[in-house]
Formats: sequence, structure tokens, C-alpha cells
Amino acid sequence: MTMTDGKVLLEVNNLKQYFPIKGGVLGRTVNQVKAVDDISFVIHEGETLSIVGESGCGKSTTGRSIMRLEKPTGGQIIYNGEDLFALSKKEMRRRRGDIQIIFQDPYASLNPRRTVFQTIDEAMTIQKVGDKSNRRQDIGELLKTVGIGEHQMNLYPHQFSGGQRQRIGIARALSVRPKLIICDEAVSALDVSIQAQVLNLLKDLQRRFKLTYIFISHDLGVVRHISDRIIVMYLGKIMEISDQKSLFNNPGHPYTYALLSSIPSTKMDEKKARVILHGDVPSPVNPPTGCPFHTRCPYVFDQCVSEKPVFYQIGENQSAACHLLKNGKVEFKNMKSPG
Amino acid sequence: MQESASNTPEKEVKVIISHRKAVLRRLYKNPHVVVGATIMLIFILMAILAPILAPYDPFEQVPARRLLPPGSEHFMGTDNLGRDILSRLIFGARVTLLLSFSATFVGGALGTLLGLVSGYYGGPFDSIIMRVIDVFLAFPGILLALFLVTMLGTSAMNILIAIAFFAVPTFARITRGSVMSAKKLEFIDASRAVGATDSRIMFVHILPNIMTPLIVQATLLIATNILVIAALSFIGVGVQPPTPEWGSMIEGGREFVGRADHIMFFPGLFILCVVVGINILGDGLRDALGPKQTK
Repeated sequence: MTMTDGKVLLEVNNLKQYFPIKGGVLGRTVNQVKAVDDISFVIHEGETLSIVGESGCGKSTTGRSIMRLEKPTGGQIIYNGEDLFALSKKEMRRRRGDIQIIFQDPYASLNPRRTVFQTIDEAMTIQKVGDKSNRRQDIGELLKTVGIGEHQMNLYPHQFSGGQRQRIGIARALSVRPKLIICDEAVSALDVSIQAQVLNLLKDLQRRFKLTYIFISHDLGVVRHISDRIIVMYLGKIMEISDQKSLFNNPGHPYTYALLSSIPSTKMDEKKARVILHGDVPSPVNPPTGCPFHTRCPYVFDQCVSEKPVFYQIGENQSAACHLLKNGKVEFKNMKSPG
Repeated sequence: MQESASNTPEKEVKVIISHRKAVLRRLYKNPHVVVGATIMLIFILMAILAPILAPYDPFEQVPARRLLPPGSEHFMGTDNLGRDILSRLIFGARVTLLLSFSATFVGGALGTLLGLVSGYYGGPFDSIIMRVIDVFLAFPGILLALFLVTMLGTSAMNILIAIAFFAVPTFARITRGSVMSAKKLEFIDASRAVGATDSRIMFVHILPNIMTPLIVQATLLIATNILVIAALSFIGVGVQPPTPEWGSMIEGGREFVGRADHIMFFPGLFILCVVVGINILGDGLRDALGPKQTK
């Protein structure tokens, strides 16, 4: 399933997304929340790249920055040899058909005053997809593809269930024939049974339309099911980038290891050494010096506090930013976790 | 895919109709809306049908019939120039309603536009607009209107401008607040993601979703404007005689208090009824339409 040798579709270089904190009478910027702090990665055609991490780690912001829904602070998003951040607003609007996004909350992602037809028609009209005279048939087809009845296109969002609304959101994203779809916690708000249906639908659509996904989630179970490669983020920075197999079997970063050990197991007899992280996630306003994870890492040593770790390649498709790895890969299972 | 309900097309049409019906039902099930709307309807019909309803010419002066008390011939009596008060009141509804509705509409539209742009873009533009609006909000509305009318001169158009002007800040504030919360909704991002322009997002996606507080505010403002128009006319800078207007009619009867109280009493009663009617309607709309929309 891994398609990591495919062509590069999108390249994220040194992406930074800071949000100003305004204060005082004059509304001056007194500080910044470093939601995404200098991250780089590539995404290959046809793959599913997941971004995981705790809430507030910047995974959603990364997706929104790639979509240019936020005003970028710095960095580059290279798509088709073009830096999306360098485009004017107008040029960007024309390119939006290529990259689409599916949102978390199906109750907020559809305009309550517009019918399904109006919502999808808007997208197609703006991106000039298809022929206006065939619009009804096209939208009918599209709705069938995502599992909504053709005859339901004149209904309003409140007449659908959460799962159906999410399908409509998917149909809207698909309607402009994108290459890349960012799924921002796309199934998190759904019931488990509906989650599985929507995930399977996403997989089907990927095969059918040769889509590439950036799948943003905090749910490692879902991520394991759908991903080819996974990015682990913590406090606005990438901790580890790895293919799915290596990450789950042999995590390269202590943070990944801690995350994985938090997945509940169904095997009664399997004794799991659970790593309990102590303390809270530090504030992204004043991130810790050196490695951002050093305040909570069980394996912390002097260098972690003073020096930012670089990425070490520890497998064919695996690299992680941790000082422990400078002499090669570390088996966390063999290390005892200090209480 | 099992969850997609298998509605037949006929069923579906029914659902849409019943949704619209549900909104209407909430309106006519609300006693405030019904009472307020009925009162308003009576006044609006009265204004439209004035030439048919009025028993006399509102301008005709009959010196022999000056200061007649209410009776069978003149239901509400006559004024000091011998004009039929009922007829003047009926025609006066035209002036009052037309002015207050159009002023509310013009001022409301302008304020909404300002609040929409200001709330949507934010930044320094927003700060400047809002500070200016704060200044205007600090003035009592009638003082502002009085100031403008004295500066511009008293014509119906100038009164309209003055009253409309004073509607702008309130609408701008309400709209701005609603826009700021509405623009954070995901469907706004979704339409931006498909390439919708800012103006499309503002007018197609945000504005229809924040109409409820604006409609309520507009209703209540019409009532205020009726009072302001009457007040301006009363102090002589509003609608000029001989045009029948309720406020100036009260002023005309001022000298005759004690001798012919009906000259002041009936216009006052009309103003009271229409203002109370609109306020009841406004309260009802607020309860029936918001703040929670139907899911």
C-alpha cells in the first residue's frame, strides 16, 4: 500500500503559523502563539499522510495553513512548482479547486440556509467545473457516489443526520475535482459505526479518483487504519515522520512511544508497559528551549534542554527529531520508563 | 450508506413545505406576533386606504365648525381651523408610516452594510468605524435628528435623512457582533476553500444567517422613529403644516388644552396605539425567531 516512491504532490517548507495576542488599549501585538513552528514535509501523489498529536499541537492549523485559510506567517507551500503563499488572493481562488478540505463538525460545515444543491452548485460554479446545463445530473451522480439519494438534493442540512452531512461535505469537496483533500478530524464527530462507513467511503473515493489525503486526527486507531505515512506533531513541531508500519511497530521518538502506549488494548493477557507523561503541554506562547518535549520526556538529559534536536534518519521511511537517536535507532521497549 | 433515508420525492417536497410551515406556525402561534401584526396591519391599511376611509377632506377648513367636540358628524371632533380630526389622523398615518419605515430601511441597510464590512474584515478599519459609531451612540437620537434637521432644513427628505442617520450606529453594532461570531463557522471556511470571494461570503453566507436580530431591531426602531418624527413635528422642525402629521396635530391643540382636549387626545392615542403595537410585534418576533434557530 505504501506509495512513498510516488511523485511529490505538495511540499511544505519551513511552514510557520503564529497567531498574535493583542493587548493594551491600542491593540498592539504583545505576544505570539506559535501554533505551527517551522515544519517541513512532502506529500506524494496518491498517499494518505496522517498528522497526529494532542489537541493544540498545531495539526489542524497545519491543514488550514496549507489551504491558506489563515494568513501565513512564513514558509512555502509548493504545489505544481508554485509557491501558494506567493499567489495573490485572486490567483489563489482559482487554484482552490486542486486542494479541498473536509471539516470536523458536520453541523457547522454546511450553511443552514442553503440546500445541498445550492451548496455544491456554488463550489462547481466558482471553480467552473462541468457544464451548467448538466449541473443537476452531475450533482445527482456525485451525491450517489457519496451515498446520498439523488432526490435529496433539494433538502436543507438540518434534514440530514450527522453522518449524512459529513457525506455532503465530502461531496462538496469532491465536486471541484481536487487532487488533494485535507481531512481535518473528518470523522471525529461521528459515532463509531458511522466513522467506519465514512472512512471506507474515503478509501473508496481515493481509489476511484486517485486522491491524495492529508488526514488530521488525534485518534491513533483511525490513523493506523487509513494512513500510509504518519507525522507526529507536538507543540507546533514535527517529532517524527514515519511510514505506518514502522511507526506502530517501532516508534522512533519517545513521544510517539508514549502516544502509542496510550492506545487501549483489547488483549487481556498482554501486559503493556504504559508510559505516563507527567505535567501539561507547555504553552505554545513560550515553548521550552531545546527539544519542545523535554519538559515531559522520561528520557530527558542535559542536551535536550539546551539544544534543538535535528532529524535523524532511522529507517528507510522513518526519521525523528531526538538526541537519543544520534547513535542510531533506540528500542524504547527495552528502556524502563522512569516514574 | 444505510443511514441515508430513503425518502420518496413526494415525501421530500412535503418535508420542505412543512419546514417553512414550522417557521410560520411559530409566528402565528405567538400571541404577541399576532396582536402586534394585527395592530400594524390596521394602521397600514388605514394609510393605504386613506382617501376611501376618511369622511372629510383633511385640508378643508370650515370656520363655522371650529373646535367641535367629538360627535355624530365629526367622530373625533374638529380642530381650531374646523378640519375633521379623524380624516387628518387617517391621512397622517401615511406620512408617519412612510417616513418611519423608509428611514428605518435606509438607515438599517446602511448600518448593516457598515457592520458587515467592519466585522468581516476587522483590523484598523473596524476600529476606526467602531470608535466613530461609539461617538454617535453617545448622543441621544432625538438630539442628533434635531441637529441635522435644523442644519439641513425641514423637508420630508431631510427628516428622513436625519432619522435614518440615527439608525446607522445601532445596526452597525448589532451586525458587527453577529458577523464576528458567524464568520468563525466552518461553512464560511468551506466556501472560502472552494474559492468564494469576500463579498459572496458576506452577502450569501453571513448576512442571511444573521437576519433575525436585525429584523427585530428594525421593528423596534420603527416605533422609536414614529416617536421621533412626532416629537420633531411637535417642536416645529418636523413635518410642516398643513400636512397632517400626528405630532404637529398635538402641537396644534396645545393652545386649546382645557377648552378642546380632543385635538390633542386623539393624535396621542394613535401614536400610543401604533407604538405599542410595533413593540408587541417586535417582542413577539424576538421570541419566535431567535435566538435559537431551528436545527
